[in-house]
Amino acid sequence: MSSLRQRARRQLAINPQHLLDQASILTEGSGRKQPRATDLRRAISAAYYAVFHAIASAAADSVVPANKRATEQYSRVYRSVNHGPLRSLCDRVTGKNSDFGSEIREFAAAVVELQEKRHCADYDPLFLPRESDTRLIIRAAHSAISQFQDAPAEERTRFLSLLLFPPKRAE
Amino acid sequence: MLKKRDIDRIAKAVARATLDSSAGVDSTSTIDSQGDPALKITIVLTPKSSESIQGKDVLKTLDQLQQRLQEKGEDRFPIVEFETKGETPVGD
Repeated sequence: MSSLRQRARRQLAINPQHLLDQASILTEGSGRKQPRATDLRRAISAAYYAVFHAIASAAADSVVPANKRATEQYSRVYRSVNHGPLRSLCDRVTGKNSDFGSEIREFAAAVVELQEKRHCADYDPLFLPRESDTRLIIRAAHSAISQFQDAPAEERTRFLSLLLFPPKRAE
Repeated sequence: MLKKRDIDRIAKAVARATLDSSAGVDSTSTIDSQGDPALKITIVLTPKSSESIQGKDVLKTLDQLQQRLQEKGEDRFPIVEFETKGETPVGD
């Protein structure tokens, strides 16, 4: 295997920072006086997906060793993270009976917010994006990723284990 | 379920505490992407403040707003939109 391919396999397949960079570039309007609505819609979507892929990769890293990133098992864990269960977990984390600290709570609140905005941006024909809202949501996505990484290890592990292995409901 | 007046008062207090300066707030009822009742809360920012607000300030606003509303018995999720005073939405 070439060293280039080996290096590529050690890196994240979908780099959250690159998605955030892309989102920021889209808000600049590529030479126009103002970005198009489509640019802002795509920027919002990219900001959400930056957070989503940061979590999917943290989840996969939590159960598969780093030197196995190029394996089928890593890919399977990564792809097991879905939007619906992530939303449900974040709703619980931000709910009244949550026992998570402020870092994970704030992160979870941002995930739900970003997911809602992503839905509007991707599917709602009546949604009219604003530049300032888009810029702030990109900054929030950036901070959400940092905040998750800086959260206490025990809470991070608990969050990821609940995401990958949700508690069974009583039948 | 809180009245609009109370929701706006809470949102204004949170925005003042977490974002330093906001020019006003507005709220309406909406439905979220899951089909559940939700709140759309618009926070209007002054032109200077929208440039200086950091991502962590936004996270605090989202979390604090939800907590304060929950404490008062409001369970609808607040979907927050920011706009700069006088800003119009972008249409193609």
